[in-house]
Amino acid sequence: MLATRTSHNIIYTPFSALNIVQKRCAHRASKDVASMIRVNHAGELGADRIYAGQMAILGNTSMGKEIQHMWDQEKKHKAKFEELISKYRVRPTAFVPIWNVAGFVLGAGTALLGPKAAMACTVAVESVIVEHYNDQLRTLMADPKAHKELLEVIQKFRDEEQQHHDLGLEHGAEQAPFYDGLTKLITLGCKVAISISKTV
Amino acid sequence: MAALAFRELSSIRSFLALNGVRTSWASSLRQCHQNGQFTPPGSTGHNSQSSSSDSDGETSKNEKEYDKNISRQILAASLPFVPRCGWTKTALRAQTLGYAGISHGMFPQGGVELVNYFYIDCNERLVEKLRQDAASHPEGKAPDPQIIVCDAVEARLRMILPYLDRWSEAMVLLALPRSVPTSLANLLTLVDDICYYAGDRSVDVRWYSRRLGLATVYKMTELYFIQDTSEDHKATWKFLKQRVEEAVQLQHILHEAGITPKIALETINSTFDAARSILRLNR
Repeated sequence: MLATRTSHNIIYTPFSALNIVQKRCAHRASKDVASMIRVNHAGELGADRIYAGQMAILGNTSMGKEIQHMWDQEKKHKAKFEELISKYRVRPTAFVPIWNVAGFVLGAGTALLGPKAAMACTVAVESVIVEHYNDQLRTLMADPKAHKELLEVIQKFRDEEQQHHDLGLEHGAEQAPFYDGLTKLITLGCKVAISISKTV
Repeated sequence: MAALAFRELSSIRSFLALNGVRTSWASSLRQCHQNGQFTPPGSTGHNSQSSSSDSDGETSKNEKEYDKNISRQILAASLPFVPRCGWTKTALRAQTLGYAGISHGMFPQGGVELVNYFYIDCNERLVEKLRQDAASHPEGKAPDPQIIVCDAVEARLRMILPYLDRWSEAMVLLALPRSVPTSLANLLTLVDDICYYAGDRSVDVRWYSRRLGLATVYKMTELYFIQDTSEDHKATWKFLKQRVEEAVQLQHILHEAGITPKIALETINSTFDAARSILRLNR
């Protein structure tokens, strides 16, 4: 329109209206980072509820101690992302109540099929989460200095989720009834949940 | 040298523009650009030829930025004409920056863009005010959230005062179907900022209920405000206080009655308890 080839020369005008965009970015996280924090918070919330569901069924069995340990870690993850949501002023996912219930049902439902099915559920969920965190880390690595805190948090959590995954395999997840079908179903469910939480 | 001269020129130019004096700087400046006389500050030694060797993406980005800045300036300069001409293309045409009379063609949506510009500008000013207020209170001694919310909404509505007679027209423009997405986003940004500075740090459904509640209160008060004839709009501020109190009470009731996800979970818990008893899984 009014622009000429060297038009950017004129940007340096001391006019109050010009820095609106900059100000907006200064106190809110960018869209990509907001989406990351939102989906991670939703994920950790779901994981927290899954372990709560498992504990409700298997709390008094020999597996109770292991599950409690993993649950405690997930609680810390969730608390950390709640803190990040406040800090970066990210909108939490609108599906919080749904993930709340769905996570619990998934955890309790698989636990009802037996401790090995519960471990199969853990393995399936954690493998999706690890993959998801790795994807995010790859994105963040493009500029490691820009989001240092987020990068470190995700790295730490990724490692812990990987431990949960390995722990599940150690406890005979693969011997669970309908292991293949169960894994595929849960993996699909998690992926759908992730893609929903990214935007909604 | 050229960069220095340019800075001088731009400061004079903004002074003149702010004073609403019609000047001819725009056309002369554009002529200079075509001749390639000026170089951007901070890149001395580059002439227009080297800048043309920049990647095309960067150039088009800069051009977009430039267009945006120009349109912002035109919008800002048009605002003083709103009380006389309304939120119309006439007001956009009346600005005295020295652009051609057809510059309102940059705003295909017409008056709505002027309203939106004003809305965002007010939101920004409010955020600045809220931030300063928050900084002036020592840690842990912030006033009651209810008071912060009331004050913020009052301050925001007072920004409309210069255009109060014309604000009903603006509200109509904002409510037109094609401008609803933008105006809704602006309203939600406004209430999000107020909620944040009032100390809301919820991460569940309450995040949504609070913002929607405040948006409703804000819209209701705005409607009351444009019809209020009381001195210093005292009736509006009383109305606002009552609505906020009601909203807080409503939230308390909902919370105490336990219509929260927690109740749903407990229901499921007890259902599973029952199922476990029936299946004799209780050990």
